[in-house]
Amino acid sequence: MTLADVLGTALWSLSRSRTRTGLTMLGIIIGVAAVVSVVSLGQGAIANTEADISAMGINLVTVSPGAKMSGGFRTTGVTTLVPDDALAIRSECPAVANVSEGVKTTAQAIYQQKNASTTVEGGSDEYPLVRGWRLASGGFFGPEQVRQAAKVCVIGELIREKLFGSDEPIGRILRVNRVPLEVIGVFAPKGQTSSGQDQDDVVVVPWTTGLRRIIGAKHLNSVLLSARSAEQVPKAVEQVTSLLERRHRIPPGGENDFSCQTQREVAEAQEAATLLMMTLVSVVALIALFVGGVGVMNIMLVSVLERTREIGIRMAIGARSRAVMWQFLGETVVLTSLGGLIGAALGIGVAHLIPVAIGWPTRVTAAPVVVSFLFSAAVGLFFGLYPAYQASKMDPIEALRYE
Amino acid sequence: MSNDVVRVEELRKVYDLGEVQVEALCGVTLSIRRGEFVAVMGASGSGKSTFMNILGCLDRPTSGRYLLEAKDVSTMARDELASIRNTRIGFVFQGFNLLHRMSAVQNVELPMLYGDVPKTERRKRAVESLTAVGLGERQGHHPNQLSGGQQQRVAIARALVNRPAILLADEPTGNLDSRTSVEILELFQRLHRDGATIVMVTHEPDIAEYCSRQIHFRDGELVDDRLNPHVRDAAADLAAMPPAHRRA
Ligand SMILES: Nc1ncnc2c1ncn2[C@@H]1O[C@H](COP(=O)(O)OP(=O)(O)OP(=O)(O)O)[C@@H](O)[C@H]1O
Ligand SMILES: [Mg+2]
Repeated sequence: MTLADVLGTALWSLSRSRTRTGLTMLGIIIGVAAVVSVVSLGQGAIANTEADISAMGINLVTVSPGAKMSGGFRTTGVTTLVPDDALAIRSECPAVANVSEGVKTTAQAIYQQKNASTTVEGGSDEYPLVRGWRLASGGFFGPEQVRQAAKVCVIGELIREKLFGSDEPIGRILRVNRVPLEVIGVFAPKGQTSSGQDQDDVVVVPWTTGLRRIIGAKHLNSVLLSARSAEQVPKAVEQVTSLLERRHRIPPGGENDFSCQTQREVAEAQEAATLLMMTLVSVVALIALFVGGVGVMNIMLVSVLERTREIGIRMAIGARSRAVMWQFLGETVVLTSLGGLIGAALGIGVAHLIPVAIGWPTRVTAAPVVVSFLFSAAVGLFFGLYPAYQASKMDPIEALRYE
Repeated sequence: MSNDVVRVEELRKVYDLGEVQVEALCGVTLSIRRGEFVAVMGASGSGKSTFMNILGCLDRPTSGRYLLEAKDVSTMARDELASIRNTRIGFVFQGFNLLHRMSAVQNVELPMLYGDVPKTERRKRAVESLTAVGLGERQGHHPNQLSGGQQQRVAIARALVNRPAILLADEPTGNLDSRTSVEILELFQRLHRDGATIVMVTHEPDIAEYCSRQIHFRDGELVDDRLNPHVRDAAADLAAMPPAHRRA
């Protein structure tokens, strides 16, 4: 009996009872489809994160007040970062190119009858350079306006659309916390970050304006800075860290009251979370696949019993134990592999549908398709072994007598 | 000796049912020569099927020796027996034992599948074999589209396709009406004339009349063994029968 004979017999046998074959495969199909689509979702999210950091500039470093916490969460409401820190970084860290004091709050922006809840960010005149953001129209504020805490703002595309619609926004006055701000520029649209934050939903003001006029505070929420080049990022972090340690009088070995996070670290933390999620769901799906395998074994045991007479006939005309073994093993492996193929196709289909249906990015790669297909074939091999063995060790004369 | 296809010596078969032991064969010694057409007769439960199953290497004797073509098969391993069944023995059953979801020609191909015959040759030989039993036209039919007699012919074609040393048939006409039975016997006689060695179990003395030798079992013992001086000619009997509706 050649491999082609084994496969031919298996396909013949499976095609005899299509409903049963389909139902038996269902567990495998769903398991594989789940693995393929979940991994595609994860890959899509990771690819998106990568695209984000290259868009935002790999040189970006965020200095935040408070110690770095495990899991990447930072404490809020910590007042250890002050404007003088940003000033010192500007003058004393040679690896740093641009610096922007960071102020952030949420507030209502009002224009005539319309209002929108949005994020108000304060920054220096170097803010667009640090962020790598471009303007669609108008201009950005300069150092003089920062010094004077000028009542000006640059708005994101979403705010422009919400408040001004088809009107020209430049030169109009909108209000944030009763402070009238003249719109001097509009950012080019940037879309969502992979963490779901809409970067177009923003009003940017000089940080001085933000602190004194809008929030009424003295400390910064962050300092954003860019290194001179991607290679200089570690050096910039090192210089900023030692400078702030000195300024904040952190004893050697003591815990810092600030933290530096590079864009790469932000992305990595996010990717790690995505990867963990993806792995967990995949493990669950693989377990489902395994359980599907148990179902296949159950059906195959019933099938072997039902076909006792067929086995007897085959043995009577000269099938060796091994040939009978191969017949049933082949049937199980073909069954689960077929289920794997259908599941993979279904998973790829779902992965293509998700971006259209709910807007999440996906990316289909070969690895999960190949792995889950091989896994389902292996499941067939593993769970087919016992039923096939049961069939092969039947006694020909007893099998023939079986009714 | 060299002309003996089958030689059994002191063949015994005991079924152990725990409480009781049933002695289905108690010391049978017998030879069957090449080219014989043997009828195995006896009352129900006399051990005919037990005897045939052992001859067909489907079952093993409890004790005694069985030489098939001078080879001792009573000591052979499972897989060797499978190979003997595949190449040296053709078995025909009362209930046909065809695989129902396969066409006639696929059923006939089956023994060659296990005998490592190349795929292209399988189909050719299966068609030849079906033609030899008069079913060349029906190769694509499935068993449920064939009459009992036709199904038994497919089974015979399957039994013969690997050119076995001996054809064993356990009540091959048991499920058939009398005319169809004679038609099957006509086929057996034709094969026999062409040199086949055939052993056939039958209840009916009429059917045994078509065989060249008749042996009788009683309670597991061989009680009678004689040549048939007046072998009936099935072809002639068929010709004399009312034509009815031809079915085979
Ligand atoms: N598997 C078995 N287990 C126990 N006893 C059995 C078994 N097979 C056959 N026997 C017994 O062995 C004896 C011979 O049975 P066998 O089937 O050989 O008879 P037979 O001559 O073929 O009868 P029939 O003409 O009814 O087919 C019987 O008494 C039967 O009950
Ligand atoms: Mg019997």
